[in-house]
Amino acid sequence: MKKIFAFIFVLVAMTAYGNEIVTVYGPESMKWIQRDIAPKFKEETGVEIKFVSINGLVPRMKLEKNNPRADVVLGLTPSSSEMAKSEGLTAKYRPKSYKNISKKEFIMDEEWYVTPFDYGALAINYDAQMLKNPPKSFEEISKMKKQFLVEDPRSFTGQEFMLWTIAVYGDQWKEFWKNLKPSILTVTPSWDEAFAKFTAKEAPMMAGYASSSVYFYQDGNQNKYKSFIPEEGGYVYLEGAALVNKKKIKKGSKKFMDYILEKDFQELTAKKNYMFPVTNVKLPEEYKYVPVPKKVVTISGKDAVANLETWKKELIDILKD
Amino acid sequence: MKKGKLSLNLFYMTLWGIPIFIFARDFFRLEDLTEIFNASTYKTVAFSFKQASISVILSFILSIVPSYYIAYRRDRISRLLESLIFIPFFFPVISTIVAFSIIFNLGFFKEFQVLYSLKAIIIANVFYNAPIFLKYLGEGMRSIPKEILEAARLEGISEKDLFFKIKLPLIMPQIFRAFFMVFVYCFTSFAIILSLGGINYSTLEVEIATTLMGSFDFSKAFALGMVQFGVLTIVNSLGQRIEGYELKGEGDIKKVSFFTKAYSIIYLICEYAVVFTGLVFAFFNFYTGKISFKAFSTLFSVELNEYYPVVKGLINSLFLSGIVSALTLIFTYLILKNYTKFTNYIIFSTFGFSSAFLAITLVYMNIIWNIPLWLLLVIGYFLTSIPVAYSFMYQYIREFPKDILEAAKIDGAGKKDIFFLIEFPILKNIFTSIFLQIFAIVFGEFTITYTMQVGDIFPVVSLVNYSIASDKRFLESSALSALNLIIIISLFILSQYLRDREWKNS
Repeated sequence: MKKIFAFIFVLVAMTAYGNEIVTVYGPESMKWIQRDIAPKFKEETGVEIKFVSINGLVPRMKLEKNNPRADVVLGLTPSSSEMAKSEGLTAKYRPKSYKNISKKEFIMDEEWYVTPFDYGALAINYDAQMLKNPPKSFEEISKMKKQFLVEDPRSFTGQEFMLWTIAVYGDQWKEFWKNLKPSILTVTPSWDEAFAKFTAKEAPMMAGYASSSVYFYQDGNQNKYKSFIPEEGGYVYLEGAALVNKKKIKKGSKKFMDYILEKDFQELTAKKNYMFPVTNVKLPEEYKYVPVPKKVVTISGKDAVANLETWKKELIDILKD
Repeated sequence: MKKGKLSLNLFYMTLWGIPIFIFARDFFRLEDLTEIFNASTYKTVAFSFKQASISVILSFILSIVPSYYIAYRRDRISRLLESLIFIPFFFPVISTIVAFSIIFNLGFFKEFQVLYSLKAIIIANVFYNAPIFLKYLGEGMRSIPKEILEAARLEGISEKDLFFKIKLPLIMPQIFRAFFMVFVYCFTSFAIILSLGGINYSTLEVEIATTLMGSFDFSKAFALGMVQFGVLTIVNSLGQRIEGYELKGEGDIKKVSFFTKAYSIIYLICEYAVVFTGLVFAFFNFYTGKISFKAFSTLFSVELNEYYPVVKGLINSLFLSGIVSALTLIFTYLILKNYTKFTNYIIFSTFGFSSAFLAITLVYMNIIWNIPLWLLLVIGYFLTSIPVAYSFMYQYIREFPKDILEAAKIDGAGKKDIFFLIEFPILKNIFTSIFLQIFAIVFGEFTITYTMQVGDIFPVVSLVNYSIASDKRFLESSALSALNLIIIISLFILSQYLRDREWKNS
């Protein structure tokens, strides 16, 4: 009788394990995980991945705090991961593959509430046909009149661009924005709007991403649209993954966290997410068009979280003034 | 009977109230309501009022002359003028923004720096909403009984006095209905403010959305939502003081002055020029510099659908639109048949409620009670469609000839018989027309589906398109936008055709 129970127990356990589904939340731009990662991951581990596109990860995690649906979240930035950590939304976990991370400065959190998986730099995208002699620095941009599109600091790109300028100018950042204001044509609600206006030739420059040059190249537009990083310094932002803080953390979730630092995932990050991997994997050829910052400026995630709302408000006041 | 009447109104209120109450219970802090009463909020409320009031007044003034034309002429121009009503309800706001961005970058407008100013917001609001005044004023004037006007003329009244002292006061209920609708649309304006105005301009709706998605502060967003609800409820309650009545006369057909005709044609050209610009550029892709007709063929390919469920999205959208339109039509009919003195108040109080906020509260229902997302989507669309359907159906149901209904009752017909044997045969084209109009609105809706983020669970066409655009497949995205626009406009044309046929028959 005991043997029968043991057999049933093993059978049930195997069935349950075999059917384990890990729900992963991430931004719309990471839907490739479902089609390109999920089958491989299932083949290797037997765990199914169910990817759900969520734009605005932290609000959604806050909404689900008492009844979390997600097991893993992908796409947290230093500031949003700090916010999630401080709200008790993420759980501590250091992946077994953490040694694959190529540089120590990529580690987003010493306590491993978040694991980095890729990074990118912000840049100024410009229309090379409209702008024969593009500026080289923020100072030169601020001397141009109504030729620059920036995003609302309440949007992701706008927020990161604001943090970039704070990292460059420190306490003088508000002065910089006051000087920059005449060069701004408009403040768009998000990156998509800025890009639409930029490609409609409303303005020859926009605050965007260095890796946009990859798809400018893929679309055969590498001579029309280009990117540069102002000489004051480039701003690199990391994207991380985290386990959602819930009563029972699935084994499959931890396996997935281990997997994101493996070669397969990291190579696809470069190909599909247009971001640099955090491990040493070979980059696709088109990455030669992506400008690399000569000097990197940074801002700590803790500082960013502590002051973010005040900074955003101050910047909005300057822009509205 | 009275209990039955009240229960429908209560059902509608409960459907609204439960998600909002549960959300408030778990996230709202009372101190946020007191904290938001600061200079910044006052400024936002004041601006929301200012831009909405200017837009309403200008929309009203600009539509008086063409409304007059509609009232007294039955020709191609009047039909084209009446068709403009598709703009506020069906013409996608994104197409409006694209069109105005192009127009405002043309020489004349560029010189006056219209784009990214209050002028741009007002012009776009007036373009979008003046057709509402046109519809209500035109239909109102057309329904003024000839006998009243003839009697006034016999008394020697001038045409000017006839207009200002007789016609305008007589159509006050219609003016108010249009005023309220336009005011609400402008007051809760979101995309136009952000895209054509820029960061200098912010309405309460913009603040609610940015607080929800940017600052993640649910409690503050809720408090701002309460302020918006309060303001619109006050505006609505002012309107309830205007005595409601419907004119049942038959309008005259007469000659109009050269000025009236010329003005109406210019107005028509201006409105259609924006629509035409929006339509043309729906097919044009700025990024590639190409017209995207070719991408139509790839939209339905197996390869594309493997990654972006265009076909599934279309099927789901058609399914959802069908269910919601049917439910909305039935419920609106029932609530109009069970009309109480509170009905107007209840329905229109919810008119200006933030769609983004409603969507967040519905997502929360899914999180805590596991209610399927597709069902919550149906509820969300249903709740936002009811005020529009109510507005469309009001005159047909409330003003249905009572003598016919009374006669049927005397002959022993029950409610079911009265509906199927009398009302339905008479109103079937109207029902179909309103069904199609709600169908088109739901089909093109984006805010609720985007905020609820149901793309991976229950893809609908607007979200699939967003997904395609996010992956930088701009050609396919433009093609799908154009396809949506074609579907929506076709539904509108069909609904207009049915309505016109009904009028001809009657």
